[in-house]
Amino acid sequence: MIPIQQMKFVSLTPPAALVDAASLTVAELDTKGFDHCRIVLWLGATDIACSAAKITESDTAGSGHADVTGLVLATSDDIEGNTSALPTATDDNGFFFFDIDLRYRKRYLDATITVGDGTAGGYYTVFAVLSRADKVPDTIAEMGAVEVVAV
Amino acid sequence: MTSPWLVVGASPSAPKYLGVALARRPAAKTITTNASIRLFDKHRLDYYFLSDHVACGKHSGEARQMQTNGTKVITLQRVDDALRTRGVETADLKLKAVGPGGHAELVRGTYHHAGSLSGNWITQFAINNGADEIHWVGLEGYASTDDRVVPDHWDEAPGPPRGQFINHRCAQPFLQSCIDHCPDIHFVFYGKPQIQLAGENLEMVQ
Repeated sequence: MIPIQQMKFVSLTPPAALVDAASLTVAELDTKGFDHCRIVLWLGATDIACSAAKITESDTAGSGHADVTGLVLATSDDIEGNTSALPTATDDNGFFFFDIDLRYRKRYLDATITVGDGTAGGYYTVFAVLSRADKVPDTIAEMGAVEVVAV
Repeated sequence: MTSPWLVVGASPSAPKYLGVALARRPAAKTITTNASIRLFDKHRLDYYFLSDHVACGKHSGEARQMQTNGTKVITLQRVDDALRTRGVETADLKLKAVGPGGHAELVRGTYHHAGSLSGNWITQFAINNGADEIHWVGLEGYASTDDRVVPDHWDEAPGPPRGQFINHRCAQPFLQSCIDHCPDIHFVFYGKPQIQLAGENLEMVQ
């Protein structure tokens, strides 16, 4: 059993254009059928800090979202017990993980990532890795991929 | 013995006032950033700051060339592959930036993310390296707005659409904080600023 092969990847904010002084457009995530989720914020080149980065949840698709306590950067503690930090203007290429035990959460998750007001902005992408599935993904499509090769 | 610095931005008046400032202080240390590297083909450039990834794409090659003439290139510390992507991995100095983003106030002795403006970074560098006289050339700010984008640089490159917002949010508070927190430094501002600055240690040259 290879754990990564039993996970589903979901694109929430694909790599696209520069973002500056705005919130990312992030697709809502339906977590039904899974017990764990890691939401990954991946920075590319950036010259401005984020002013907000947090996860929200709702029982209803598309509305009613509220912050998930513990998943608000700069407010919540990180896994090492320190106050977490928002992405800064020099966190190029860095990963920010939001790990969620879905057994205690509402079905729909979303991410609010707000980029500060710089002169050039930065590149950002967001994706989710869903795991501990009720039914293990065993096709390429169920894994969330276009193609999968393995050796 | 004074330690004057010429801190040179890229606003439209930069070429004119660079000559004026150099005539006044020919022995001043010089620092500039981004496109204004091209103003120093005939003058000595001691330091060149390059960090903005858009500017790096345009000027990292020129920066490396200036290093062969003795110019020290300065950038911000990032992970190695990010520095390589920007072409500044050979920079002489990599400043460790501190503080939250948008902190538009000088904290003497540190390098704060002062609104991500390159003009603010080079001002911090001059202050932190012993300047007792700072000549601000080409730091007049932006005239561009969301409704009207105009050439805001000496090379006629357009300003950012939120130029005036950036002036008031980042440029003015930071430069004014330098004047306020550094009474031991004499500041000379060249040109017609898009921002309001005041202080007993500030001299305006127009």
